[in-house]
Amino acid sequence: MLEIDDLRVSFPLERGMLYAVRGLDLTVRAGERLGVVGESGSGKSVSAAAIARMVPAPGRISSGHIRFDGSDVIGLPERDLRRLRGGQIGMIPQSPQTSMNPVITIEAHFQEALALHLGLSKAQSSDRTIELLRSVGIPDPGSRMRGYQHQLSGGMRQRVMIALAIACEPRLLIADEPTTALDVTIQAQILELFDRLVAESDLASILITHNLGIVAGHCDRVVVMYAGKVMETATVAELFARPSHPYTLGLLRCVPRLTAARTRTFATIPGSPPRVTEDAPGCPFAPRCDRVTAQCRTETPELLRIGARADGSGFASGEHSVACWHPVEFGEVA
Amino acid sequence: MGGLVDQSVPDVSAEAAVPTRATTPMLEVKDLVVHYETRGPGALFGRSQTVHAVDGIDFALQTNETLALVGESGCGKSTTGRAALMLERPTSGQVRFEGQDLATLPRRQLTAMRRHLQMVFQDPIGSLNARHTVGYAIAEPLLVHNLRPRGQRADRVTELLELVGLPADAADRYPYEFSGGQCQRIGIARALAAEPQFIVLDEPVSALDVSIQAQILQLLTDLQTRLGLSYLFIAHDLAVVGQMSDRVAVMYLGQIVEIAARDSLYTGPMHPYTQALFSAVPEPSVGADRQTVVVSGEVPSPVDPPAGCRFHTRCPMAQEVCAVEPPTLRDVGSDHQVACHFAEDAVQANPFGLHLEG
Repeated sequence: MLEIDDLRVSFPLERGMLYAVRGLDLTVRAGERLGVVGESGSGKSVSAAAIARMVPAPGRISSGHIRFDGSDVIGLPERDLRRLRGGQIGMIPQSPQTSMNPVITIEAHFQEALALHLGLSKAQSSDRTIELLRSVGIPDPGSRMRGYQHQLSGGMRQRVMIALAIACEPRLLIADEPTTALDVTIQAQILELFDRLVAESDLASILITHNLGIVAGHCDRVVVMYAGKVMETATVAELFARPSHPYTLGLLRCVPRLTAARTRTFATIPGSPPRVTEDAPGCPFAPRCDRVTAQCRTETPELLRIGARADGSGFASGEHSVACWHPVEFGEVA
Repeated sequence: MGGLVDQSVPDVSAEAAVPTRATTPMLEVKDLVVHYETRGPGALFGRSQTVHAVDGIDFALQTNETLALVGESGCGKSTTGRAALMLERPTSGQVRFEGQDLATLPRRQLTAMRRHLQMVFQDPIGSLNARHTVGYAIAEPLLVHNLRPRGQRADRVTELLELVGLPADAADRYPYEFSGGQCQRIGIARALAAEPQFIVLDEPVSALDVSIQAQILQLLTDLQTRLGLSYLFIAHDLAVVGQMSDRVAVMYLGQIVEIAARDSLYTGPMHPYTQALFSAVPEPSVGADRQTVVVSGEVPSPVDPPAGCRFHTRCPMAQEVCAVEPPTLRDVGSDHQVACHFAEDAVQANPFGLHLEG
């Protein structure tokens, strides 16, 4: 349904260029829940924005193809793009507060979207708004919708944003860190809601997050990004059971576990995620990697499917690819 | 306090009072209350309202110990941390540092005392003055407390930079030249400059990337061992808290609902709210039985907290008594206290499908 091919996005700086996304390949099938994980500067949010051609200025898509339902998003005129955004593609932002207009009612947000995409009249859209707000668990939706965003709590606001994102029956839902600003119990509520809606309407979804725990519980497949590139992609079960990229393995080890005993030692990855201002060859993780060789610094590893395993278990589930010259073999680490 | 006072002096008073010190915790908070007056909706004519940020909490912190305050936004954990340093004047209650009540201390003495009490903030970059060099930021506490002769300050800055894992030449640079993780190291160096005994760490890693988080947690752990520091660790991330704390206090709407030794809490949380918090943490592993139950509802307003147990409006275990009778902390094990009428039942019923085996 969604196919991204060699996408590149860059931001001109005062001096030089920031390469945010450097050759992203990605597919999402109907009904699939894709997770995109990465740290700050990995390009995960910019990639999500690029899908609906919403890369913030002065950034621009410098090359690549994005096909949604067979049509090329990059070539679409502005008029058709508006039909796509909020219509075929629903977006859930990280901070609902800055994504809603503070001086118009909640109802008016829905009215605008429903009129543009579905051609609903005022009366029709009122009914539909009440129905939508009820479906995301807003109590007393009839009176709530006449209020403003500031009258809602953070969790309720995010519920409204989800209702708005699904209002026009999209086929793809993109959520960019939808729960990062929320408390953990509210986060759990929102993710439960997200899962229910995706399952009910057979939507495809892309969940952008830095939280590996959220990916584990709420996605089918996962893409790990670093410095604007995909380091590894696999089904969620496969990735957590057999991380292949040293970066993925490092990340998994860095996350503190709730059930782990206290040890006073923390697995760390030395250094910090880079700001890519030079699109040089080589693996971007090389400076922080404990398996680095001369080859890693000069030649860019391609994202390749993992083949037969050393332990004879045959091919990976067909979904596991890694961009690394020295991937972690299965069974190599406990 | 003059230029002659150096870091060995404060210990003299401590030694003089050895008999009491041995039994007195380093920090003791008793019946702490912090209320704010605000105007309600309609700024001009709105009635004045009282926000019950912290509503009567007690805890003690021993030397070289880490106590965590954990809870969701609005539970009062940060206000408690600020009140422990007198950055927030308590409405009532006591904050005793080595037996002395900071709330009644005259201003001058409090300022002198502050040297021993420091804070590391959540926003590593925002908490540093962008116009000051890193060296100045770190040396400032030395100037304020007049701790080192002018000629030795640069050496002390170098020493502190090394202590937090930064190169000596960082001193001449500005905060914007550093990443978030490096800025947090600078913030820690600044907090350590005056050789404090007690540091409030207010969400010190929640703004950082996962790989950087681990580095900072390791640094804080090593510094504690090396310098014998005591931490009040304020955080919302239970997994991080579990790796950093000796004891943990869980807060809800301005009150402590459960306080226990780390292992006791992490293997057997007894308050339904603690159980709800634990079950809401997304664990980074793919397991078969992840069927947890999500707690419903949201935290009520601290302007008008519910009567009785403050969690009763969201609690699946709640009975009539919970809406009337506020539960007080009671002993349920060695170094484990819980404020719930039905804690034992909650352990049996496991209302959130909690599963804490590693």
